[in-house]
Amino acid sequence: MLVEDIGGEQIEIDLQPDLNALKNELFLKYPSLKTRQFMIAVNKQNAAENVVLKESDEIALIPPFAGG
Amino acid sequence: MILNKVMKKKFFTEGAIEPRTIAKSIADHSTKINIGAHDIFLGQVRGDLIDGKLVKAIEYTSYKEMAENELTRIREEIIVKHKLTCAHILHSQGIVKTGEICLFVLVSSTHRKASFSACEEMVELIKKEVPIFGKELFDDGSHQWKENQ
Repeated sequence: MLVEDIGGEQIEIDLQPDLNALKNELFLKYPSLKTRQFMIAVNKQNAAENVVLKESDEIALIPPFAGG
Repeated sequence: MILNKVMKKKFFTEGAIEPRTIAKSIADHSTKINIGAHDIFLGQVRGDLIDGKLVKAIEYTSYKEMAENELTRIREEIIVKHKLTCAHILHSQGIVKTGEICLFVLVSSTHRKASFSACEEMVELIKKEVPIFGKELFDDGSHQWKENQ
């Protein structure tokens, strides 16, 4: 579902100063994301709070878990 | 010959987990004579009826590298916390049909109480903290994304 919203499995986006700014930018570019439930991982670690971002960071939008 | 190999646990298998895999895993522990108790959890794909449509399979995917990191962390935390002898986790990737096994957790300890608590805690953490995703495939060809309760 998230892939359909952003139009691909991987996208490049202009560097944002922090995670909150990135979220705002994503919501602006892909408004349908606002209705989705997802968490964000930075460099494969769950980012529960706002963090400062670097150019090389890998950001992942992760849908609800369904393991087990 | 010097083997400079980092031992990495294998947490994923393609398709359903076969009963013989589980049987072999139990048999493999017979040489570890400090074990007095095992506890096993098996997750099975349920044929839910949702809006009149029957789930015939679940297709599992994951954010694999992160999932492996999380599974490694959970396994190690639980082993230390409950003083386990050993612990194994195997989860399916790809399509698993209704009635087949998609998760196998085996924990072993010297006495039963540690195994009981460790197994439950491990399964709960796997469901809550590991980025594994499931697409429920219905008998009419449609699908929906599953979400753990």
